[in-house]
Amino acid sequence: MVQPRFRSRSLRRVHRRTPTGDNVIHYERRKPGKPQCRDCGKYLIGVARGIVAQIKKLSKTQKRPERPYGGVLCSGCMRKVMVQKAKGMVKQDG
Amino acid sequence: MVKVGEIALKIAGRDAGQLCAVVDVVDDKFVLVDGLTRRKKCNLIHLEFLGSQAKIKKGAKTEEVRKALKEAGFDFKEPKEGEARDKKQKPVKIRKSLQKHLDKPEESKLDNKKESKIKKVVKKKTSSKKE
Ligand SMILES: [Zn+2]
Repeated sequence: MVQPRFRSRSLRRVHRRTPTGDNVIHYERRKPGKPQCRDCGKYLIGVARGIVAQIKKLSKTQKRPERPYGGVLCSGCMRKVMVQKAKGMVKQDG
Repeated sequence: MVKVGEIALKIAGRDAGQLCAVVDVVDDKFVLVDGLTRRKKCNLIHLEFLGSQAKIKKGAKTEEVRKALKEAGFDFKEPKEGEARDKKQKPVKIRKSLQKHLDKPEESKLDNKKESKIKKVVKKKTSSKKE
């Protein structure tokens, strides 16, 4: 009989074959969903995915792109934000 | 055509959102930029020109470009570069029992053999931390 705490579906089941040839079930934590752009909803690339405990071990640069809004906006939407910023910086009389 | 000294905002990559000025023109697609960004060859697609000029010569140094940017009327804080962090010296931690022994050697109950050992340990700790 399975241990009662493993009967809940909050942990996902992974089938593994041991070196001796037995089939066993490992219970692992579920991965969070894919990160998406805040503006357009596109799936972000370059953002680390996996079990939270594993990702926490990574360095900051391995977790998200090294640019402003990295891991929040996609590169295209970030560019639009920067163009807006540039328009605000233009000198009128210069 | 882009000229040397034109001020732009970088809109892509790690330096996005930073002010820079054209220092050199490589060809019809690429320019060399410097200022608050890193000194880099940069595609014109990745720049948004602000329509103002900085008074610099071709191949100007970073400090000159930043000065020219300020003269052109753009306010910014000088970015910190190359400053080594000051490491705060932590006080040397010694066990309470050992500290008692060092403060009042007459009252301590340790042997002479142990005393010499303790002195060695304390020496090691203090010398390595100071260096
Ligand atoms: Zn987007």
